[in-house]
Amino acid sequence: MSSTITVENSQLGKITVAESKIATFPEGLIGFENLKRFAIIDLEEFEPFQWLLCIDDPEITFPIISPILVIASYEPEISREEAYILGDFKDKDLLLYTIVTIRPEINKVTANLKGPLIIDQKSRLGQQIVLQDDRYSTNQEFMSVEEGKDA
Amino acid sequence: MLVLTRKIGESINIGTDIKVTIINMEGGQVRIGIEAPKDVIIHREEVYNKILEENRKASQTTTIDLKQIARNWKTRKKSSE
Repeated sequence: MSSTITVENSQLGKITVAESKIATFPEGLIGFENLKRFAIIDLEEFEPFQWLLCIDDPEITFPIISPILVIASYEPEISREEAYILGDFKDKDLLLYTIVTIRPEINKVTANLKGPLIIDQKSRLGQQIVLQDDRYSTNQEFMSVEEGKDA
Repeated sequence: MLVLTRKIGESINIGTDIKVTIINMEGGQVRIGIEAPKDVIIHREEVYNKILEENRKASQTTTIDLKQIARNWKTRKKSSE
């Protein structure tokens, strides 16, 4: 039997996740270094977005999306040295996400393609990478907050 | 701040296992080589700060906002089909 963890978030309510689905970020996220354990929450009403929920502090959540939905050709070069937390990983085991920022003041939704999150499905280890790859930006615009209305 | 003058090819040791070398200087830019243990995180400051700012902003997102843009996404997809 697989064990689960239930946490409560004031906006999302009670969330139960299988322990096997929790990823550990040994260095946390940038600016959130003390938070280590995260789960990806899929809820239909937010599709294609997902929530990265912090198990250690469930009030901390980040909206995320698959970066290929932002730029279909997204394929950053991630060296072993950059992804040193993951140790010896296989590319096919990696899950890639990008954090989304909603900016109502400029009517833009942006994705941080320069600092993607990678999770090794095998080891369940995760890391926010700061890419050396200069093709990608920290605030790639990909949709408006209010469609049909210019900023 | 400790300020030192170095020539091209010269280095600075920080502690016992970090070494910073001046590789080249050209057009107001300095190329620096850094040798450090794997667990020492090295970032260009402005990139690191930008990601930090994005993370902080993203962590303030409400479910209402994300629901709204998820709806927009689906509408947009439908209208492009």
